[in-house]
Amino acid sequence: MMKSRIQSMPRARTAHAGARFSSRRSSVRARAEKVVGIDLGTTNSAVAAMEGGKPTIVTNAEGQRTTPSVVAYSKTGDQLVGQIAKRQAVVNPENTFFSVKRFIGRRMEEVTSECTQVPYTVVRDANGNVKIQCSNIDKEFAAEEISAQVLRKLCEDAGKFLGEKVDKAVITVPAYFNDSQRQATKDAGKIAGIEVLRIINEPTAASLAYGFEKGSNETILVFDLGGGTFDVSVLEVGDGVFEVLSTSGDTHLGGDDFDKRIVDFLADDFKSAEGIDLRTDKQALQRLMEAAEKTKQELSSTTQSSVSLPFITATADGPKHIDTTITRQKFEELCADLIDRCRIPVESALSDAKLSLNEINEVILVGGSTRIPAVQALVRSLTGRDPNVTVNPDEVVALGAAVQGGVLAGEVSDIVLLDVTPLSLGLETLGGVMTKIIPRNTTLPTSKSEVFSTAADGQTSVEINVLQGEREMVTDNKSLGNFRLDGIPPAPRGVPQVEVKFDIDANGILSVTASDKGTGKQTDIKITGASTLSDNEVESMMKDAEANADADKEKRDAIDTKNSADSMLYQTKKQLTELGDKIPEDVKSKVEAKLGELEEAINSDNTEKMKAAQEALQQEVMAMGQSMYQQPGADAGAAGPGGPGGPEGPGGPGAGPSGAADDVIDADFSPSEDKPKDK
Amino acid sequence: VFAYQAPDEGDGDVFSRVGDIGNMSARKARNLLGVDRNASLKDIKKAWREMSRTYHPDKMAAMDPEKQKEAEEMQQKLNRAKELLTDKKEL
Repeated sequence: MMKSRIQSMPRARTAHAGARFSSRRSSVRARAEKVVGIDLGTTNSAVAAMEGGKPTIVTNAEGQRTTPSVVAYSKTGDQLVGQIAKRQAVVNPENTFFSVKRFIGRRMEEVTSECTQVPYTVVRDANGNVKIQCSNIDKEFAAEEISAQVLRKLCEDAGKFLGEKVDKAVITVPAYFNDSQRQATKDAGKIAGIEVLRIINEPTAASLAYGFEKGSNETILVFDLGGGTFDVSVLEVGDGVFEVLSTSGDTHLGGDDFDKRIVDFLADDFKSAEGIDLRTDKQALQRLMEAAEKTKQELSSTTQSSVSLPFITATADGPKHIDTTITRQKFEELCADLIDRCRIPVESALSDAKLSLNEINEVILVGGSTRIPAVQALVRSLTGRDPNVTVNPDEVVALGAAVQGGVLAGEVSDIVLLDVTPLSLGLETLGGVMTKIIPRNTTLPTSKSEVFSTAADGQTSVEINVLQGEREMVTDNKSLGNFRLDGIPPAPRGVPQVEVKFDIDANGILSVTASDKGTGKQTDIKITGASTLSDNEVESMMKDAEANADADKEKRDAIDTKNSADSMLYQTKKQLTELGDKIPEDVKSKVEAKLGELEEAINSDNTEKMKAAQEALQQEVMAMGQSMYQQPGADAGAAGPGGPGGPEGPGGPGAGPSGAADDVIDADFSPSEDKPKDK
Repeated sequence: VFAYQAPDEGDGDVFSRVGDIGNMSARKARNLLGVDRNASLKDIKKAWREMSRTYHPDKMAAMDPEKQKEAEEMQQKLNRAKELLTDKKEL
């Protein structure tokens, strides 16, 4: 045994030395750059970061722990992201983009059913890829661009929360995402100006968060039913190694589908009663969808829920309303087949892991849809045990991504994650069949090569069609890319030897190399996927997004400045009237002059002028405050120091010691009363 | 970008498979993981975990690309060795 070990040592030692060096250096790096973990969900997203050695959820600018994955464009062309976008969906259904994850990295023919489920318009571009139409700004977006806008907000908010710039992230994807969908998610990060250090699988991330502080060795099953996708992963956790044994799933199954059943039930009901199909009315559809989601959520804790949608539409007879009740039993009946579909991936994941149910130590539920009692009942009946409920199904994925971010930043040592490829990879061979090179559930990173030969006499080139999927025939699998190796010397079929090498990195992203062993001629491709964007497209979208972000910032700055200028104007005027002739004439005229300047700046809508005028006015107002204090025995009254609740806030430098008499301090100053109610 | 093209039908412009190459021998796999012939499935897993914890490319994330590449190749070999030895145990 010792002897055999020695053979592998030279390389091993170099790598080991490297490892030690890396951890020392990265501990310095970790302080400088935060790597956040992002759960980019179909309906909601979450961000987490390592704080004091523990993964912690980062709240967004609105103070929420999750952010709706929704982007909208208003009539005036303003971009809205998150809760604010979701809230206006009913009045702007055609320009409010949600569930975009269902389209990312997909070709049009793969998403025909998804297209009919959303009120916005999805079109096919010249390459057969999905594009999303935005009528308000007359633009077509790739799904990557919409996701990028969500990512940008998440990172900006996280940056504010953490007090440092956030531009490095680990992003999660459903385990069952194929290569195109992974690549597209990475591109979305790039468009948002984020360096995506790693793409990891959602159920695996959940297991990292769950097992992070547990020393024990266990076999766990993660059941992840999210907004749009369903994943099952079986992992073995031990000695700090998180090893995925198998993974299975359904990329077309999630909470949205359950909502859809309620929508259809309500719409069909309405149609038979009133003869109108509400699904053709985008605004009505959006209201139905929101009501359906709410009903579904309520039915997780109550046994019946009322649906009330007044004025859902109008006919010649007048307005029409929906006012009905849905019981949990009815809901379960409507969704019975969806719930049943969850069964298959659990069974195949277990059989691929070559484990029986009694070898599973823990079942972890992830994703909001696992709150549905019928789903929990199914898990219980499938696994014969009560699922673990110690983790928050909405947050655990982001937390796990943060742990992996910590591993990559060197903040977390002694943990390593080894995932698998969810789908088999191979290429097309004679007869239109797929020859698998890397079977599904192979541990990553992996590399495998095989030798192929020509199929006909004198063949000088081969078309290499890279495939992903489990089916026998090429047409039933996903084609990831097509490339050609030319210049093979003419020879009888079966003689030339072409070596094809498949490499999958830890992100699950594939690269393929082919070389003619006779001539040494080599062709290689990084699979960028048939349905994803080219480097150039990503580049230009990135520039676009950056320019838009700058414009948005400017717009926001303008609005903020105007608001604070308005408020200052109002405050100062109020003070002048309140104080009346208590202010010395010369001070008053100075303030009035600056007031006039500010008013003019506001009327001319000039942001820079407003800023300057505000500052000038602030000076005079402070001088005014000071002059009030200096008046012997003056009743300062409401002359609050610092004056208006402008951007600098009340109590500026003017509030400093000014040799005022004691009675001045008694002045009834209440900043909250002074602030105008700004809507 | 590789736009999808349907492979030309019938002109023989496709592959036929010859076979695997570069396969690791069981002996080489055992050498790499530092286990002997009689090692149990548990021993193999333990050795693989231990080495993965040390050599995994994630541990080299701060290193130059060359070192990372080296780590990735090492991990690929470790994974291959584990696959080979654990699969065999089951037969």
